[in-house]
Amino acid sequence: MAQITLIEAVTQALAWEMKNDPSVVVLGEDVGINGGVFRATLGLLDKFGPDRVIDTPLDETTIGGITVGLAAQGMKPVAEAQFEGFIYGMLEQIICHAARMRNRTRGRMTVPAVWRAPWGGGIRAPEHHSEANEAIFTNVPGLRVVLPSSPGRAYGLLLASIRDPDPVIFFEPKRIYRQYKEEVPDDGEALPLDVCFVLRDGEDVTLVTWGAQVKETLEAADKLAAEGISAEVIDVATLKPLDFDTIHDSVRKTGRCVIVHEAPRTAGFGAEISARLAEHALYDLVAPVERVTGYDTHIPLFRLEMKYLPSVGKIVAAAKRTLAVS
Amino acid sequence: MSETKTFHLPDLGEGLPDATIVEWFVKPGDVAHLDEPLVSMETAKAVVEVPSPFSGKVVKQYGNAGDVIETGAALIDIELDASLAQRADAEETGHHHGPPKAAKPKAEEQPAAGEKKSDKGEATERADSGTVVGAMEAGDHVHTERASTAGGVKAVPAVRALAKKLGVDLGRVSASGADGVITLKDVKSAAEAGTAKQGARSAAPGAAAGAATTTPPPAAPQRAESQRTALSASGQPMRTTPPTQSVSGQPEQLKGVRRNMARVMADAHAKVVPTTLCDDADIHAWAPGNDITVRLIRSLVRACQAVPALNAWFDGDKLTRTLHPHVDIGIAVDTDDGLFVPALRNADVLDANGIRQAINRLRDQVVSRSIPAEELKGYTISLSNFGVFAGRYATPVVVPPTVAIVAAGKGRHQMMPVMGGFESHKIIPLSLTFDHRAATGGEAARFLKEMLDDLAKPN
Repeated sequence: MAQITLIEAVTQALAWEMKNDPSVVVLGEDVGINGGVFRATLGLLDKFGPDRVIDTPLDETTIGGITVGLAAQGMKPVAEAQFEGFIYGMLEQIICHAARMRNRTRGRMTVPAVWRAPWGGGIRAPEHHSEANEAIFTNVPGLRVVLPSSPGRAYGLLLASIRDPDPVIFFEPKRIYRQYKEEVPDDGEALPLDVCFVLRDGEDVTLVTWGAQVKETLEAADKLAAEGISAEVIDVATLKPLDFDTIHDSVRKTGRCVIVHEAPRTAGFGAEISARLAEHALYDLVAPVERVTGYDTHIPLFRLEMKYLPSVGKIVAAAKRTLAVS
Repeated sequence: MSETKTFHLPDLGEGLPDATIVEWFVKPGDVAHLDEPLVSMETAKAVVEVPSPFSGKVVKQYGNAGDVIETGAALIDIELDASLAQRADAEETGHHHGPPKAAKPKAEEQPAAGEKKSDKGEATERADSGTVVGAMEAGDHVHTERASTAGGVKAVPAVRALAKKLGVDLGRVSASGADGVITLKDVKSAAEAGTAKQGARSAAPGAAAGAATTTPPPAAPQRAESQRTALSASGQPMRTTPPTQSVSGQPEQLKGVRRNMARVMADAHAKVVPTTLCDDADIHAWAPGNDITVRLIRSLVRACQAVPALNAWFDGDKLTRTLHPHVDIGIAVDTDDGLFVPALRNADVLDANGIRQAINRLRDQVVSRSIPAEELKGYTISLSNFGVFAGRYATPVVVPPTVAIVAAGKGRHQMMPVMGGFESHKIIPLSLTFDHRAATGGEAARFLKEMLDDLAKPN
C-alpha cells in the first residue's frame, strides 16, 4: 500500500476511475503531455491515451462548455481549472447549464461532471492563484461543493464525486498538496459525500473547518489540549449540501463553536454555518459563535499572505474567547 | 530485504461473493511457487485450485479447511523470495477485489499528538517542485488519522462519516479490525443487514451522546469461554455444550452448493411470477424397454419445438426475451451437499441412446464433484424428476433467466374410463411452472399438451 501525498491521491483516484469506467475522461489545460500544472494528471495520457486525456486550448469557456456537453450526453468528464482563480471563465457554463440541467429538463438529463481546481492560498503565488472562492459555488443551487483535507479524503471523495450523477465542484487545497503523506489503499473505495468528518472528539468547544485549514485547526486543538481544553474538530468536507446535523450534535455537547476558513469573512461559508446555529442551536450555545477567517480584501501577495490566512494562534484565541463566557 | 505480500482471494470466475477452503497444499514455512496450486477452494459450483501469484515463504494463512473466505479478503501472506520466479509488477492478473481487510487497524498505531509537525522553514526543494508558480511546502513524513473512541467505539473519522451517511449506529456494529476497531466494511455490512439502524435505541440522540461514553459497547456475538453460563443473555435457561463436542442446535454457516442454492432460490422468488399447471401423462401404450427419463426429455424437446416461448431466457430489467433454437436442459440432481443443475446440451439432436449416455455422464461428474463450472449454467429449460422418491405434483421453481421448468412426480396406476369400461393405466403426473412475465397461460397449456401427446406414443 502506497504512502502518498494529497496530489498523488488525486492522480490515484483519477487513474482508478478511468481504468474502471470507460466513460470517465479528463480534460483541461496541460493535463495531457505536461501532466497538469501540479502534476495531478501525471501519467494518465500514457495509460489512457489522447481520447480520454484531452489537452484543451487555453480557453476556460471552451473547457466549461465541452464538459457540460460531454456529461449531458452520458460521459463523466473531469475538467481541470488550473487554479481556482481561473474558473470564472467557466461560470456561465457551470451556473447557467451544469447546475440547472436536471431541473430544466425535469430530470431527463443530468450533468455527472466534476470540476477540479487547486484551491486556496499559502504557496506564494501571484494574483488569481490563491483564492478561496468556495462560497460563490455554495450559493448556486444544483452544485455539490467538496473540499478534501487529507490524501485519504481526496482519494475517497474524488471517487465519490466522479460517481455522483450531478455536477461537483471539487476544490483541492493546494497548500497541503505535498505537505505530508498518508497510507491510501488504491482499492476504489469511495468515501461518503454530504457528511462531515469528525477528526477529533472533544467536550469543550467545537472547531469547524475545511480544506488546508484543517491542519492549523488540529494544531490549535493540540495546543488547547495542552492547556486542558478539549476541542472537537470537524472537517466539513462537503460544504454543499451541508451536514448540519453533525455540527449541531457537536455544539449540543460543547455549547461553543469556532468556524475557521481562509475565504473572506462576509458571506463566506462560515456565515451560513453561523446562521444555521443561530436558527437551530441558539439554546445549545453558551457563547457567541466565533469566526476565524480571511479578511474582506483580496488575498495579498506572499509577504503578507500568512498574515491574511487563519493561524494556529488566531484559532486558539477565538476558542478561548468562547470559553471566557460561561 | 524481503517483502511480504498478502494475496486476496480473487473472484474465482463466477461472480460469487465467497468460497470455502477445502484443502491447503502449503503450510506456514513452506515455499510457494508462482502459478503452482496454493489451495483448493469450493465455490458454489465446483472445487477450484487457486494458483500462487507469488513465489516465497508462506507466512500466514487466513483460514483453515472449512472456513468461508469472502472474495477480496486476505487469503495468505507470502514473503517474496527474490531468487525465485515472480510475476512482473505491471502484469495485470485481471482480478478485482475489495479493500484489503486488515488495512484499517493501522489507523491507531500512531498517536496523533505532534505527528502533524511539518518541516518548519521554507519548502523543501524537489527535483520537480510540483508547481509552476510560487513555492509549495513538501514533506515526506507520513501521518495516520487516529481512531477515536467516542461513544465507547473505536473508529477512524471516515468510518464515522460513513456510519452517519448510512444511518448506522456504531455502538451496535461488531468490529472486525484489530483491537476492536470498526472498519468501513463492518459499517457497510451492518447497513446491508439492517442490524444497527440508528434511532433503534430508545434514548434520545442528545442523551445517547452523553450516556454512551459510560455504557460499554454491546458484547460481540460470541461470548468468551469464561462467560459460558447456563443462562442466555436475557436470563433464560439454555443448553450449553462443552467446546470439545461438535455443536448441533446452533446456527451453522451454509457453504458451497447449499449456500448457492439459498441465494439462487431467494433471487428466483423475488423476481419470477410463477404459475404452475399440472396434468397426467398416460404411458399405458409404451412398448417395453422405454426409459422414463429419456422419454421425458424427448417430450420436453418436442414441446419446446412446438412452443418456443417456454424454451427462452427472459430479462426482466430490460424486458427482453431470447428464444433459443437449441434445447439445453438443466437436469436437477439431488446430492447430500445440495442441489446441482448440470446442463444436458443439445438435447434436441440426441437420440435415446445419446440422451441416456449424456445423463449418466452428468450424474457421475456431479457425484465425483468433477463437473466443470461451465456445465452448470446456460441451460434453456429445466427438468426435475423428483418422483423417484415420492410426491405427485409440485410447484417447481423457475430460475432466471429461464422461463419454465417441468417436474415429474411419482408414477402410478390409475383406473381410466375406456370405451364404456375401465382399464388400469400407468400415468406420470407432470407439473409445469412457467414465468408468467415471459409466457402466456395458453402457451404453457399447449406446451404441456405437446408433452402429454408425445408421452402417449408407444415409442
